[in-house]
Amino acid sequence: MQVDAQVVLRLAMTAAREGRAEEALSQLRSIASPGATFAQQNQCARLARAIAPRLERLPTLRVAFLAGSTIDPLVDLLGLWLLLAGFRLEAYNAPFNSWRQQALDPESGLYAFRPDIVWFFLTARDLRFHDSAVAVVDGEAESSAHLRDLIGAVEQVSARLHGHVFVNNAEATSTRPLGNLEGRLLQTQAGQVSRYNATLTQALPPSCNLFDLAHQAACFGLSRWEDARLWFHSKHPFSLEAFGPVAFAAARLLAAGAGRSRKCVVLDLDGTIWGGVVGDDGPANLRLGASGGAIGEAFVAFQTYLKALSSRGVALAVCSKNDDALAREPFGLRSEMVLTLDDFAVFTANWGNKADNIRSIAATMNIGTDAIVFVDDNPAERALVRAELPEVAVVDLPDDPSDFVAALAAGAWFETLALSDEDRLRSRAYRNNAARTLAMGDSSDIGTYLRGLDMHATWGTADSTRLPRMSQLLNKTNQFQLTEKRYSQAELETMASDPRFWVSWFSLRDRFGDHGLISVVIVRMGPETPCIDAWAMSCRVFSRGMEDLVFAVLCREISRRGYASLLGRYVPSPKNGVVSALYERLGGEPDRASADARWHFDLGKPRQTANIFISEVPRDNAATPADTPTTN
Amino acid sequence: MNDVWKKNALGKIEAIFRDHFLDDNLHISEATSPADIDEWDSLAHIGLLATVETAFAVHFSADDMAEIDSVSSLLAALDRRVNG
Repeated sequence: MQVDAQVVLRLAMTAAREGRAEEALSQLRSIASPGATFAQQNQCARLARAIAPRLERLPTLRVAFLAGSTIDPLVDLLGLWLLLAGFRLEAYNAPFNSWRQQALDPESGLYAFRPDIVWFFLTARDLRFHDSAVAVVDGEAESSAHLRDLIGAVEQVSARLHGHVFVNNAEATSTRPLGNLEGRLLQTQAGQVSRYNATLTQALPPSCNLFDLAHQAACFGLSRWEDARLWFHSKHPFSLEAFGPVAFAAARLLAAGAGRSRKCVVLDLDGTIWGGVVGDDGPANLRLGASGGAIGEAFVAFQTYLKALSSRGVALAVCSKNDDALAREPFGLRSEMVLTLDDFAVFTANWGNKADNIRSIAATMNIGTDAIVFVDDNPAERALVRAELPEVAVVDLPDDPSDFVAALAAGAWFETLALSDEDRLRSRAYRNNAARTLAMGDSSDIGTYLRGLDMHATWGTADSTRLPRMSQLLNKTNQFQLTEKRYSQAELETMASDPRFWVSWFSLRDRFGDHGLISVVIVRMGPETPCIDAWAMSCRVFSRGMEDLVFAVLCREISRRGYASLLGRYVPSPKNGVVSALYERLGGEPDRASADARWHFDLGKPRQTANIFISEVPRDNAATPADTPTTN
Repeated sequence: MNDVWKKNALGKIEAIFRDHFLDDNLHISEATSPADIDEWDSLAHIGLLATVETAFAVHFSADDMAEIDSVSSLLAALDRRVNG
């Protein structure tokens, strides 16, 4: 690390000790890098430990590690990378190699810790997959027995706890007794590990998550990854230097599980997705494809990667310093272009300040600037955006376009625990949303605009096909989020079959397209007054009266079940100020007696309904396709 | 052990410890052991050895690692590896 980084570390440590936690955090962010040496990341982790306790309103993630090896360095570095992702880590590292007992014993430290996340951190090293005196296995390999043990333990934990469970797959080894042939013969150690990994992906319960340790080892390089000396000395599963990249990747994944992945890549054009400057060179002379040489091929490869990102739900937007018409020309004129104008949610080409443009792009798409990754080949633009919008992730693009894909991929900005159809259609959804925002600009008044949207809403109670999306919505939504309750799919499933809970979803479509499932409401019923336990709504459908419709349906359904009143609670967070007065606006009586913010609704009183421009499409909740009886 | 070499080595080791613990007030002498520094636990120990290896361009054997449990044993192992 350069001398100035050592200076920054010490300044930041002093700042942290003197209570200037935000300042220390920003200094830490400026020097931490997943590619830094273990020694450097360790220093950053020490600093992170000094900062975290002094930050207010930092959500905590309670992570329990069940390992068969010494993973203390992982816990330390995960604390660093989770802090930078916006979380305080509270860790429980189970006693060495006790994972079976911890999972099976209901009185174990694991369950007493009440984790949000349980991570079975097992590796091929501690499972001894490459530690056999027999090169070719006859009959069942030990790895099958291990898999049965592991799945059994995972099922126990999933049954007793409702958080996320992570399980590693197994890494390869560089020292294969049968050498190259192990790539082909299934009965070798390497063959058995391949089979273990393939079977694991199928045998793992759908609500559990795989951590691709094999991929981490491959990226790092097996020879550097393996550290026999360290294993024999202190049972570390891999080299010290490997802990950094693993911790970084893990933090991105855990943050994604808690709703914190980025949503959009904002792209420059000249020198970023094509070679040359369209204003100077003209569209015909831009370097794209084979005719543009190696550089031309590199830009096509980068566009291809971006298109693939878009196909799985990452939005793309353009922010270019150019004349708008000129900037659009290459998309029509050059056949080598992989990206089309249709791929972009927003296309901004003007001579204005890029920071302002990015703010405007975020506003049009109704996402936070902290959901944006900015890619620009111009270091001056990057520096400007970094300075003005520190919450935007700015990719440090290298000089050679051949390395652009790697530079963007290295940030692991778009991790997700599951892929839904909604995700795949999300790019179109962002584009439609932007069109709506622009259409709003064209309407003379809000009523005309809303009526013109021709909105229809459908709702229902939770069913198995919708559970993943419902859990995703509850976890990802930060603004329209009344009580900060973040339930996993497993928890939702339990509540949905519990008659004490009303677990519902709402979806909305309009003239421009189908928004899909955009709200989840959970009401806890029982002998006392029912209470709205959770209510989240996608920011895509703000300011169009959807919340009024949801509330009207909610009141009707709870009233139908014989209740006379209803309670709503608001739990404040840094991002949900937009709903702090929602229950008041909906006509609730503030409950001044209680310590937290609560409102009381009398279901018997006729409700003054706001002008709702959304039609409710009736849906028969009693029958889902699976329930439809087959009779003649 | 050459006195000049030892003094130089101690200086380098002290710098390494100060970086590792982010504490410029730490003083390292031949007599220093984990008992003297609260945060010098087994995890810190592994990290410190790795940094020392890089700084002195040596590679400790598994036996070396088992033996090193204080600054004086670290100096001895370094002396063996560096000075032969």
